[in-house]
This record gives sequence, structure tokens and C-alpha cells, in this order.
Amino acid sequence: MDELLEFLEELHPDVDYETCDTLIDDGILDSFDIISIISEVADMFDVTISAEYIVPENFNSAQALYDLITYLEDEG
Amino acid sequence: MFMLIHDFIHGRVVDVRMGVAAIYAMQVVRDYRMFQNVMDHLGFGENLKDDFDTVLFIDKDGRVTFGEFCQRVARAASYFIEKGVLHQPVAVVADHCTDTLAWYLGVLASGNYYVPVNPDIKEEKLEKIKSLAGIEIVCRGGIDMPRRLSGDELEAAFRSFQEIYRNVPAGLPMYVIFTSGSTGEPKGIIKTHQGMMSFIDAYVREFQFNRETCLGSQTPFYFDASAKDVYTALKVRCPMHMLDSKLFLTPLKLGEYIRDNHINTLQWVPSALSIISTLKVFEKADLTTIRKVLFVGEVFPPKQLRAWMEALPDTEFVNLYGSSEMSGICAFYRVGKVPAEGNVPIGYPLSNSRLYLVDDGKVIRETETVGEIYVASDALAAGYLNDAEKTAAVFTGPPSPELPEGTYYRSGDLAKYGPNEELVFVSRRDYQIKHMGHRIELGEIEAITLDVAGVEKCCCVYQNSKIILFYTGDIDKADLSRQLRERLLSYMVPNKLVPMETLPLNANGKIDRTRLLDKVMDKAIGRKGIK
Repeated sequence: MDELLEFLEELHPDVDYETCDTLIDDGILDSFDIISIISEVADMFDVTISAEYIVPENFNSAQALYDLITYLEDEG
Repeated sequence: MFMLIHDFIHGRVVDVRMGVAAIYAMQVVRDYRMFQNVMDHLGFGENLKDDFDTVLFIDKDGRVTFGEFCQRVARAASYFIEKGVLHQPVAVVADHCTDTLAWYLGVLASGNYYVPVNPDIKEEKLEKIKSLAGIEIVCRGGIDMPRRLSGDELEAAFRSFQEIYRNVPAGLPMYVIFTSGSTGEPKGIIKTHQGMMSFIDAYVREFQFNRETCLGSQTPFYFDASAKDVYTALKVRCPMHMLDSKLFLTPLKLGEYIRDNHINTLQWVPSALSIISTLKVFEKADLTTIRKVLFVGEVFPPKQLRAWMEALPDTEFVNLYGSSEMSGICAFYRVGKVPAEGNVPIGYPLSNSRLYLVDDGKVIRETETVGEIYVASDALAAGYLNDAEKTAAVFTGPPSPELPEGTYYRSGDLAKYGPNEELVFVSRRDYQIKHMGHRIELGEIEAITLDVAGVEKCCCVYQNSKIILFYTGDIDKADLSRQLRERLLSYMVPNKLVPMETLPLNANGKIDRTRLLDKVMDKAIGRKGIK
């Protein structure tokens, strides 16, 4: 999780990822950010986020994204 | 922040004795006459009435037929007519919705011209544009159906409209688009009615757009590239879906939306198309409704284009070439196969345009010789707003004694002819550098780098006698460096490779060279954005 937070903070240093749960709804992340996140997650966790998981609920908060990664790791 | 004027129909008193239905019918007829005039003027007006029930624009608030749209246009026009606003620039905050287009047409119908503005524009920049263009009115917002003008008001508006349109000066702009100039000052480009008519006519004929066409509009309305969608829809009377930018965050939903609404034509920038291919939407969603993909504005990374063409083998893919200095585009290339190396060609002129390659006053006709592209066309812009010097530098007389009189647009793009007389882009004139005594096109290095497996995007800059290559993708520096050494002449091999998470984009969605140069200058290549 720390690793993920660190990456997200580099992407948008001004956002408080601990509390923000409207990253998509408030337009903080755009489609290019999503592409960066997906490629970074692939490197960091060796997890592929395929298109059906790219929905706002999974990207609205750092926690939701982390939960998704954990879920996909378990699915393995 | 904005002077919102969508409340202009508040408080109107309708003559109730006439009955609501009768007034409605009368208004439809009058609204229609006003809209008809502007459509006639643009050459789109034939048998318009027959299509009143045809669905034209679809945004997140729903569908709007031709009939409903023309009422909105009339209502918007009435505002300016009532206020006596004539031959003036009117800024329109260009949200991605139907009413933005009703404002555009309403501004035209009242004998004025529009200036599209990005909804996210900073106050300071808006003020600058307002003062540069002499804008007093900024419009934004809904033109609601229930709030209607009375019959008398519309009749009066229509009479004055006729008067006005008869007297529109020949040189009155259609719209002025502001782009970021290289100096950082916004630069206004004046587009003409004649240019739009000439372009749309040739464009619709070339690509056989018709009523069966169904457009999925991605390009924001504050970019002039969106005119290809808007005026094609108006001309051929086909539906145009305004895709919510949020859809691009949920690629599967975007795919479903395209499929469910039978969208068959995409005129997007490669960056937007690449979202679908990068995220492998083809594997999950059926996108075979798409028959035509026309892309413009930047180089389509060959790997992404290949992914599209493999997923949709029966679809037509067209590379479009144009610039803001004209209406629409002036050349195109139907892609049969993605070239094994190098760029997809610029191709051949659209029927309303002539393109010439010129080097040192000589017109180039042979293959493989590099020259600068000059464009002659009815669709050329009228020049830069309040900048005669720059206008004269870019819209010139014949660049060669071999060419006929007329205005030529100097594109700044270097190109050559390929084996089938197709134009092939080489680089921007400004990206040509002298390095260790050799003349080098940075674009050539970029094209070769893009062919290396694992590279997604790249951008080359030249600073302090060093070629610096920024790139994204799945390849480490050592590996890329080795491969580039195999493919490039030694003096062209970049001196420094910088892997990036993403490349910064400018307001036009293109890779922002200035910001990359700043990075080099500041030596501010910290952790952000770097692997």
C-alpha cells in the first residue's frame, strides 16, 4: 500500500489519498493517469488490470485501487 | 465569473388567447425560417423541413431533433438581435453539449461570429482573449425549451435577421479559434464561412458520409478539429453522439456505448483512440459497428494503429492532415497497411486543396527530395487576428515562380514524395537541427524510435548540443540504446535517453515539447514521472 501511495502522490502531489474517495467523480484522475496507473501496477505488483475492472468504483480512492490489486493477486 | 445570458427568455408574456398549440406551431415555422437562413448560407439548407423529426444531436441530456435544434438556434440568435449585437465576436464556453452548438449557430444566424472557449480556461487567460478579440459577451449554458419567445418577438427577430444577413460583410469571420502561440501569447486564427463550405463539401464527398453515418464525437468543441463532426452532421443530417469525457475513464462502458448506439464513425485524436487499444478493450467489447476511423492531429503510434486494424479488419482507417490555419483538413491517406517503419503517409490532397513541396523556390516533383509543404485552398483561414506581420509571413504569395498567383499557406512541415506520389511527413521545419555538422530531423529519430518494440511514445528535443530522447513504454534504457545504435546513423543516436511514465501534453493534446525542454533546462528531472 505504501508503495502504491507513493506512486499516486507523485502523480498528483496535491491530493490527500488517505481521505479522498472521489478521484474519478471529481475529475482528479484523467484517462492518461489511468493508463499510467495500470502500467505502474503491472510493474509493481505483477498484476494486470483488464478493461472490465476499469470502472470508477475501483479508482475513486487509493484504498479501492489497493483492494482491487489484492483481489486480482488472489485470483492470480 | 461569466456573464451568463441563458436567462434572456425569462419573463416573456405569451398571448394566451391564441392558444398554446397555435403559438407553438407558429413558432416552429418562424424558428425554422431563421435557422433555414443560416443553413442556406452555409450551403446546408435544402429541404430542411423534411428532416424536422430526424435525430441530430445526442448529449447526456438526451436527443434533439433538427426541428428542436433550429428552435434553440433561433432563440439564441434572438438574444443578439434584440440587444443590437451585430458583426461582433461572441465567446461561447464550449461544454460538450448540444446547447454549445446552438449558441454557435445562433451567433452566426444573428450576423456575428463565435470564439470557442475551453470551459477550464483560467480567468486571466479568458480576459486576455476577450481583450485581444474585443469580446464583450460570453455565453454559456442551457437554452431551455419551455422558455419560449412570443410569436411577435420572433417575427420581429426574423425580419431584422433577414436584414442583417443580407448585409453581412463578405470578410466577416465565421469563428476565431485561439491556440497557444510559441511565445505563450494566445494566437487567434480567423476562419471564414467560405472556407467551411469549401471544406465540408469536399470532405463529405471524399468519405461518402450520409444519413447512415453515426458520429461519436470526442474532440472538444473548443478545438477547431471538432468542426469535422459538427458540420458533417449538419450537412448530411446524421446523428452525432457527444461522448462524455468520463466515458474515456471507463473503456468498457465506452465500448458498450459505441456498440449500443450503432456509432460507426470516429474522428478522434490518436491519443483517444490509443486508450481503447492500450487497455485492450477489443478483447472484451464488440466494436465491429465502427466502419470508419479518421484520425488527425498527431502521429498515431504504429503499434496502436496496428492493434486497431487487426481488431477491425473491415474498417476504413484514414490519416488526416491539416492545421488550424484552414477549415478542416487538406490531405488524407487511406491506410491499407501500417508501414513497417516510418510514419503513415500524409497522402493526397483533398479535392478543394492543392499541396506543393517547395525547396529554395523550386517545386519538387521527384520522389525522396525533402521540401516544405505549401497549401493553396479555398478553405484557408483569413489570417491571424490583429497580427498582419505574422499573417504575411505564413499566408504568402506563390513560393515559386513556377506556381500560379494566389495565397499559399506555409505549413512549416517538411515532407517528401513516396513511391506512389503520396506525401510523406518528415518533420517540422523547426525540429530540424544541426548536430556535429549534420542536418538532422528530430522527427526522423522519433519515427525510428517508435518502431522499436516496447516503445509507446517518444519525443526528441535538442539542447546544449545534445539530442535528448524522452520515451514511454516497456523497455529499459540499455536495451533501447542498443537497438537505436543498430538502426540510426551514429551521429543521430540520442545522447541521453529519459524513460518517462507519461509524456506531458499541451492544451491541444499533443506532446508538449516546451515542457520537456524546460525539464532539461531546469535539470528538474526528479522522481516525478520517471521510472
